[in-house]
Amino acid sequence: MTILQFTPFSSAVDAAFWQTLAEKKLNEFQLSDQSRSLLGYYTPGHALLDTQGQSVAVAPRLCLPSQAFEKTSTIPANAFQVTGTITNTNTIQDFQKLDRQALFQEAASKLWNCIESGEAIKHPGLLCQFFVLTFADLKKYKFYYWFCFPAPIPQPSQWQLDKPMTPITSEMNSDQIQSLAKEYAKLRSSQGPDSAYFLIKKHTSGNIRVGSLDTWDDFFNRSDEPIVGFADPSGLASPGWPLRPLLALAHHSWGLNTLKVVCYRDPIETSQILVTSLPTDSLYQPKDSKQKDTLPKSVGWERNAQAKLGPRVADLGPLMDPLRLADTSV
Amino acid sequence: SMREYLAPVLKNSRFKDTGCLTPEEFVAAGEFLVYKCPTWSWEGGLDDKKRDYLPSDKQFLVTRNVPCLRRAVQMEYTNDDVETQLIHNQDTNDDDGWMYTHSSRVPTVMADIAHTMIGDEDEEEEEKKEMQRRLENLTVKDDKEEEEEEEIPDLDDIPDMEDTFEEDDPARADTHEVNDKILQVRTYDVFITYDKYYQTPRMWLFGYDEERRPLTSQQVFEDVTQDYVKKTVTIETHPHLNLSLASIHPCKHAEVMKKIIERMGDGVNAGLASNEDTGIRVDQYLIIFLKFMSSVVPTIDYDHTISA
Repeated sequence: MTILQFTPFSSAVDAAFWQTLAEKKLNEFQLSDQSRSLLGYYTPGHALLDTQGQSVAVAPRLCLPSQAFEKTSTIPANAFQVTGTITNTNTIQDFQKLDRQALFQEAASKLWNCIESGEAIKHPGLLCQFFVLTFADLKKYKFYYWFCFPAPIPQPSQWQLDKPMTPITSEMNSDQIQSLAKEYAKLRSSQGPDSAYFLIKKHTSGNIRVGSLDTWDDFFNRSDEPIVGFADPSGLASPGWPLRPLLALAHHSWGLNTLKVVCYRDPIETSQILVTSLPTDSLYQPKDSKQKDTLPKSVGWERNAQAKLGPRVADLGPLMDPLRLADTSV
Repeated sequence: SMREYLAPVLKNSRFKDTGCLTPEEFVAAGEFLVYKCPTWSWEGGLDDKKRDYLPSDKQFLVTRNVPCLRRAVQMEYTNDDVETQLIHNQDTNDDDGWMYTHSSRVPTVMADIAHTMIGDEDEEEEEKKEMQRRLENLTVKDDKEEEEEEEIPDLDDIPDMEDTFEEDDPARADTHEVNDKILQVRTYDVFITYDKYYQTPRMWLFGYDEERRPLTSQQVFEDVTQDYVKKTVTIETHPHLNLSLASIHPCKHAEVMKKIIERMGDGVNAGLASNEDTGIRVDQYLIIFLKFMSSVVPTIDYDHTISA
């Protein structure tokens, strides 16, 4: 048995976002270091051809655009919105001393509450969340930051891969894939930011139907094989991070120990399909009724360029420092 | 700029005669591009930088996170590179030695015409020599050295916050281990703005390194065909954003576009129009423009119009 692995997000912050942050820090937030909400996005995983014609996959990215502070996001047409929060400290010392464990617990319990209350079934967009800790050194135009993408994990064993990832073409013919694409496009236009997760049903006739998570009870008949789809930011051999909270939801809300998953990628023909199961001894929460309220174990801190748990730094000096700009101008 | 401010807005369509575009034509060509390749989208930019001759939500075009797999410098100066040979073998009719034609998507004709962007021969020679000198300095270093150089100051910079408060997560795929070269690539945000003075589109590049940190202008120049570095590619402030970034100077754009349009109009198929097309339409302008630009930045894969 192999463990199902998930490709973590790589945070990709638009340089213009740092400019917006710098401006807001000066004019709006000033000395307040209160958390604020953000809207990021990811695009479905895709592969591209290099100059030798070989397919090259690109790592999944969580993008933070310059408009991330705005309430309604203007994300690219093919992208999926991800909600998050930012905590910006006033000094580098504050940044270092932040109670990261507490912030993490807060975010993880917020996510778990959405799953437990069933809120996430109504608004699946809540399943994928992030938070980022920042310190903006406005004198040197340096921005220190640390992203976290909390995800609950089962204990003691992890989800296993029953059937390795295979291209969707191995299970659906081109008509079915086209009908999946059409149905999903319909769902996307009606569900908006909540359309990253969805249900798929293969009729005995071969027709494909797509539904939202909250229709679970009516959507599948007893004879149907339930399939869950999610917009997969990964283009690699392992599915992306957003699948982790979905599996937690499937286990907790629908009592599933086995699940067939369609990893929706771009273009849709490159989507992948896998079957995963959770060993029966594994749980998200302890069974002991006294500990019912215990939060599941969660993970999700991003690693830095040195592959360590630690913050990253973006140096915008060459782009924002007026003195250095004068040097490069022609 | 003052010069741009004073220039009148081009009113009448003259794109076939001059290669220039009116703002309306720019918008029409932009709409066509967005329709053909949904990776491109319109943006409004900063409010205080809006140009009133363009719709306020359609000030410029952008496509983000475009992967750039390798350096243009590498493409040109590793002649016995297997890949280079491969491509040369395939393109048997390509024997005039244009380095950048092995971005196999760019028709030779296009690169040929694009070369008129570069002015005086002598000046070019000199520039080439200087480039060679600079490149020698560049290529001595191998990747590892560069990486170390980059990372040392960063390590000092990053506050030490190492504590192991996250236990091992066996289900986390290690992206660092899989294959560094493939997964961790430079990416670019590519912008197209309308230049009122030159009455043509203008392309801008903003790059991020493998760890998503903004690239310095020196690093961006590694992705530009060396003939153009510092000659037609300059660092300037984006007309709609508060960013300074690399831009391909539009002074020769109209001239080159006019030549391309003429050739295609004459029935010279540059590989862009099908045989039934008697000439190109103004809304196809940006598609052709992008192909022309790809001779300047051969390694940035923003052009998904091939299948279109």
